[in-house]
Amino acid sequence: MAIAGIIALGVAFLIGLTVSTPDIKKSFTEYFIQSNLADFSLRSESAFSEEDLERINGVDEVEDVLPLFSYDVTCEVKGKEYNVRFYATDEAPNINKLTLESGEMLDYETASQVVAITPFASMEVPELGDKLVVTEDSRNLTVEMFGREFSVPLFDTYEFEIMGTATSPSYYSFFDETCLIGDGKVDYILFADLSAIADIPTIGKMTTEVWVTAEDTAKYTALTQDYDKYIRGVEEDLNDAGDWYVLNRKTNLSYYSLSMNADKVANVATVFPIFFIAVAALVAFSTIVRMVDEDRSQIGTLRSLGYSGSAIASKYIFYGLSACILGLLLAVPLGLTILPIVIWNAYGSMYTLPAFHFTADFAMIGICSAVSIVATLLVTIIACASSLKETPASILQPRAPKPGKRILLERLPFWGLLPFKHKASLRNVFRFKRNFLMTVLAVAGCGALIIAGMGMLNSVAAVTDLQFNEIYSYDLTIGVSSDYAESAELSEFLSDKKYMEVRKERGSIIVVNLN
Amino acid sequence: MSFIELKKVRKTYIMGDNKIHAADGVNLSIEKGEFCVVVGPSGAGKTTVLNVLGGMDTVTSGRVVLDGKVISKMNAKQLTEYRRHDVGFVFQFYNLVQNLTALENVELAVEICKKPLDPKETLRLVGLGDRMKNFPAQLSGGEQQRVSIARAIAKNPKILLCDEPTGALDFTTGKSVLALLQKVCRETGKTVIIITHNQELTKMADRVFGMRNGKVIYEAVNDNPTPVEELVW
Repeated sequence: MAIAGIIALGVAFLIGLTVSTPDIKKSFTEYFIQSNLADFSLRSESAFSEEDLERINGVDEVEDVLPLFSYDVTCEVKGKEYNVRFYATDEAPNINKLTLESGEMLDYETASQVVAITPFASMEVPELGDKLVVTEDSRNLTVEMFGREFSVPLFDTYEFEIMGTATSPSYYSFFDETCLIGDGKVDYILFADLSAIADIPTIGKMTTEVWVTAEDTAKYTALTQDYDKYIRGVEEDLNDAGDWYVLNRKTNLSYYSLSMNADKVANVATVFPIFFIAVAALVAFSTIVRMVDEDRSQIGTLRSLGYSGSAIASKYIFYGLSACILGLLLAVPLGLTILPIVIWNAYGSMYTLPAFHFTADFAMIGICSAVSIVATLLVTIIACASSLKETPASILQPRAPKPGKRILLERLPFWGLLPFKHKASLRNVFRFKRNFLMTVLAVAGCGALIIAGMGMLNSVAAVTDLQFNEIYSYDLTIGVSSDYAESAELSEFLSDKKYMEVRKERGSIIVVNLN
Repeated sequence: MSFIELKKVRKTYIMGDNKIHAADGVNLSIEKGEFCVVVGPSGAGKTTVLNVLGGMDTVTSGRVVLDGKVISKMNAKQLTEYRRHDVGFVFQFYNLVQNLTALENVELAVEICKKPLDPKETLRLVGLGDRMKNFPAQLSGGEQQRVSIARAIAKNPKILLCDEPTGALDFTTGKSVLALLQKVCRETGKTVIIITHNQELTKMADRVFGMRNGKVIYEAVNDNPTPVEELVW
């Protein structure tokens, strides 16, 4: 039973850890396929034109293309101002499809309807019937035409009502989405009908973003290098096709953090199993050794009756194997289900999870089973061998106690001062070498695990310190739009001796607090 | 040539730097159908002789022959065969398998034999016809020893080797076990060899060997063995 238990535990852990990462990737891949997650999001300095869209469509590997209006604005909700990311399409998006959680989907006729994405991280919780009013500052857009700047309205309607909440395959992580307005953090993400967006003179409805999917994406498991490799080629072709930025899935915060986190389990899976298998073999060995020892006189009797050594050993091999197989039968279903589900649920604290999909790594199960069976067999034979090597006459006698021996420690000067009890104990340590070794190994193993755990804790703490005190030595970054970069206000702020400019990049200035 | 013959049998154990001669040139011969007792103090080498004769141990030198077979030259596999078909053991502490019933214990022994006796019949012969379904723990010492005798004779061996068969039994029970062994010897014609340190048992034997320090120091032939009932110890 002990053997069955330890093998079940070891193999279940091994299988569980091995399939967890594939399970996570498979589950998300299914969700990505079902919701048709975009492979690319295309952005441009100016709006996309009809020709642009045609050129995108013209790229060989492109499957679906969805032009849409996206814009970050500030809105007033229940008397407070929030940063809102607006998406607008003329029909339900066929890329990054929404899954309705509560309320109703848009009817794509009523301009004032919006659907809000289920909140994550520190986003505001949208409630059905909440009214959002676009603030005055966010209502207009400056466009350049005929060499002059015009301020044109962005929306046809400024009041929206939340009709429903939905999940999106591009927003599901525990990280805050950032934006360049307000405090830099998105509070609401909304999907609206395109009729809410104003026509801009001569351009019509503005396309600010284009979602693109590639033909063969469904053939690859998401979050893997195979997919990355495939998509790199498509990305190059898209880049060559026009004057725009091609953002792949890795620039999506949710996807990127998930791809990092999903592989963490796989890393753990490479180290722990060796430890578990070693422990399982050790337990199986000592269990069978003890069993053979306990049955000593029975083995002697059977030998005296004329049973052969192999006939007697086969009984223990049968026992060991049936325990092993029972353990495996328990381990496979447990390993394939419980551990991956536990790990999956743990990911639920960081991500909005789609439906879970099981995978079975038959090669791994096969290897595990073969290794366990061979190990059990070997261990059983070794455990039986010493007893069966004895002559039947001697095996009928109780095992002779191990002879006492002098030990090196006796040469130490204080040996004579030790009480007899301690002398006997010290000699026993060297007399029963197997017990001694097992105790030392067990303590060493556990000690190593504890120290490794504490070490990990320390290094994580150290990383935080290094990150925020050594690497991030700045205090603020200032996001600057191009027309503001040379403004008097900014140079005044930077010259008042409170902050010092450290570095200037496109669109942002990094400063340190001089106090 | 006798049925059983040991010639210059020597068994030497090496204990560190010391050589211990458990049997130091033992010579003895026993005829077929004899009831034979080997007697001597602890450490005289009696059990060594029994082990060597029963194929439980090998000799260091010398020759052991039973019914024309040279046992001292057999390898481990042949010894297993020999124990299976030719030898029946009766031990001081019975050595029954605890989780098998009396009948199953006998069946365990005959399962691998060529021409065994019927286990039930044999148990009736030793007077345990109504205790067959009992486990060893439910039987008295004397009854357990009867089961082990039944187990030994059901194999239909050529010799019955008994190591202190009465050692763990009281006087009366011991005598009834001895009576049973004598009955088996007389009725089935099997050669029975008993090892004991109890001098009194020599009176019931056809042939007696006295051992001391690994050597046979005397041999005696009894033409009129005393019936078991008259023995006292």
